[in-house]
Amino acid sequence: MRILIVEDSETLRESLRIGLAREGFAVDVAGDGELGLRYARNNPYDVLVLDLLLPKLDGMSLLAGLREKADRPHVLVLTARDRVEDRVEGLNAGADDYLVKPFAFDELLARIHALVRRRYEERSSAVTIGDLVVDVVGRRATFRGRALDLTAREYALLEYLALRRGHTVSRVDIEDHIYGVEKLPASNAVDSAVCILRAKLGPEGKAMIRTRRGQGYVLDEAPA
Amino acid sequence: MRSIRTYLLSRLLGGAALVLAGAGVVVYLLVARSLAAQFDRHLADRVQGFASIIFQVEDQVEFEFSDELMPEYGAGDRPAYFELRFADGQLLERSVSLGGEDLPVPHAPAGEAVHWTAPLPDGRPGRYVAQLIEVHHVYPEEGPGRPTAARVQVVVAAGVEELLAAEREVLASCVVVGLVLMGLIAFLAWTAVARGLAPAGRLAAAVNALRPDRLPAGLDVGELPAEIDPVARTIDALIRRVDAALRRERRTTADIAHELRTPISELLTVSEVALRNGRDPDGVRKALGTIRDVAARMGRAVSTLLKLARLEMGAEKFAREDVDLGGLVNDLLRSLSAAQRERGIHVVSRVDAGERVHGDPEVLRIVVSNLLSNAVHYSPAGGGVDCRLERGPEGWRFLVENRTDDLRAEDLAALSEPFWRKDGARVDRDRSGLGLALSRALADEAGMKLSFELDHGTFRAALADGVAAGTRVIAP
Repeated sequence: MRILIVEDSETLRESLRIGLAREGFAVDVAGDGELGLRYARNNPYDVLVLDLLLPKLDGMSLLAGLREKADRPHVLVLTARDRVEDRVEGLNAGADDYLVKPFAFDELLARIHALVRRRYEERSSAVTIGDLVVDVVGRRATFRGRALDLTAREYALLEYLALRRGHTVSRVDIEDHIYGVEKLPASNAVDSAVCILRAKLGPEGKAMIRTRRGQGYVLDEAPA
Repeated sequence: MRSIRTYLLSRLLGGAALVLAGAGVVVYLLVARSLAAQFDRHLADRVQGFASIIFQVEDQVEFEFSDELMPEYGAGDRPAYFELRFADGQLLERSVSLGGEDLPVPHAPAGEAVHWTAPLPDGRPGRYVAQLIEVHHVYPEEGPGRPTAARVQVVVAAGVEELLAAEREVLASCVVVGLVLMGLIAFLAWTAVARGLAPAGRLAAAVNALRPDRLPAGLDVGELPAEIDPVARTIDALIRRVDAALRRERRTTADIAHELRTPISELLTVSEVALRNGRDPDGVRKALGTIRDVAARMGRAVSTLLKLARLEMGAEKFAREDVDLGGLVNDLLRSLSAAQRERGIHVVSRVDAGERVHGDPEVLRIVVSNLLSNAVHYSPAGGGVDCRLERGPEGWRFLVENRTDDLRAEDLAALSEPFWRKDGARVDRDRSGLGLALSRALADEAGMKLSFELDHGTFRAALADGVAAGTRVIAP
C-alpha cells in the first residue's frame, strides 16, 4: 500500500516514514502543502496522512485541491488542532479520519489499515481466498494453515493483490502502490517479486497468481 | 465610611431632628409667650374693669361692685382675687375670695400695669397684675375748688391653670407634629437615599454578575446618574482591559498547548518507531539523538516562556550601561554567516565597530540577535538585509530592513505575539515563534521600544532607546 505523509515537522515526517516503511508501506513524504498536493495529484496513493498547518499551502486547501482527482486517496488528518469545530471542518472538507497530536504510532497504524480496508471495501481484517489467508492487521499470510515467510515488500505485493482479488492488476499499478517515488523499482522488479511469491506459495498455491499477458496479474482461487 | 446609606440617613435624619426640635422649641416659646401675653392683657382688662366702677364724688370714693356680676372673685372653688388700696395704703376693697387676707404686692405700683407670677393665696400657681389708677371724678366743675382725684392701687390675681394647660397642649402638639414630621422625613429620606443609591446597587450587581470566561463589552446597567456614570465608564474600560488580557492569556495558553503537541508527537513517534525495531542499533542511536534534539528545543521554548512570564511579573532587573553595538552586530552576523550563505542573503551593516549605545547589554544582545536572525531567515532567498544605527535628539535607533513578500499591514500587530507565524506553520523547527514576543517584552521592560513598519514591501524593525515609536504602516 502506498502512503503520502504531508507534515511540516521534519522529525515527525521522517519518523513516520521510517515506521510506516518498516510496516511494509511504500511511503512518500512532503514538507509543505504545495509539494504534498503535487505528489497527491500525480501518484495513486492509498492513504494520505495530512497535517493541517503547513507552509505554502495549508491542509484544508490541499484537500480542496484533491476534490477533482479521480481515485482520490483516503485522507487521515493528523494535526494539533483538537477542537470539535476543527474535526468537523476537517471531516467536512473531505478527510476520512482525524487524529489529534500527540498520538500513539500503533493507533495511527490501525487507522491507516482501516482506511486501506475501506478503500478496497474489505470489512474483515483478514482476506481469505481459498486456502490463502492474508491478515492485513497482523501483516501475516498463511496458506493451508502454513505461515508464509515473506519480506515486507513481498507481503505488500500479496496484500495488494489479495485486496484486489479477481481483478487484473497491472505492473504499473503494483509499482505505484508498493514503491515510493524515491525508490523506483528495476524494470523487472515486479515480475521477480511475483515469481518469488509464487515459489513461497508452493506447488499447490502458485497457480493462484495468474499472469494475464500484456495486462498484469490476478490473484484468485486456484482453478480446480 | 462603612455605608453611604447609613451615612446619608444618619446625617439627614439627625439634621432633620435638630431642625425640627429647634423649630418646635421656637414655636412652643412663641405660642407660650403669646398665651401669657394674652393672659396678661386679660388681667389688665380686669384692672380697667375695676377702674370703670370706681367713682369719686367730691372727696368720696365709691366702688360699685357686685358679686353677682363678677362671681369669680367670690369664695368659689378656684377663685380670682383683687385688692384695691388708696395710694396711702388704705384699703378700699378686696375680694371675698381673699377672706380678709392681704394680697402680696412685691413692687410699688405705677401708672403702667405691672405683671408677675407668684402662688395665689390658696396655693395655686397664679399671675398678678398691679396698676395705680386715677379714680374717675364725677365732680362737674373745673377750677381751683375741684377736689384732687384719688389714686387707687388695683391688684388682680388669677389662677394660671388654663394657661399652663394651654401651654402643655401646645408643647404636646409640637412634639406630636415633630414626631409625625420626623417620620415623614425619615420615610422620604429613606426612599430618596434608596432611589439615589439604586444605580450604585445596579452597578454592583452587574459587576458581581461578571464571569471571567464571558466578559461583556460593557456593563448593562441602563442610564446612570452623572455622579456614577464615570465609575461605570471606568469599570467598562477595566473590563475591556481585563478581557483583552484574559483573551491574550487564553490564546497564549492554547498556543503553548498547541505548540507542545507537535514536539510531543515527535518524541512519541520517534521512540515508538525505534522500539518497534529495537534490533537496529543505528536506528535506536539515531532516534535517541533526535529525541535529545527535540527535548532540547522544547527546553529552550519553555525557558523562553518562563522568561516571558517573569518579565510580565516585573521580576527581572535591568542594567543601564554603554554597550558596543557595532561589535555586537558584527559578532551576531558572523554567527549567522552559515544561514546567510545557505539562503543567499546579503547583509549590509552600517553600524561601525565601537559605536556605543546606552542600554542593558543582555537585552540588546537578545533583541538585536532576534531581529538579525529573523531578517536573514525570513527575507526572500537571495535578498538583502540592511542594518544601521541612527542618532537624533530623542536618542539612538537601531534599524534592520529587509524586503518581504508575504507580510501585510495587518500582520504587524501580531508579529510580537507568541507563536505567531505568517502561514500558521513552521518551516524551520529550530525557530520557536517566541523570539519577537520575548524581544518586545524585554525591550518594554528595559526602557527601550521595539516597533515594526512596512514601507512599500520593505519590512523595518526598529529598536529605540525608549523613544515612542509605535507600529506604523507607511504604505501598503
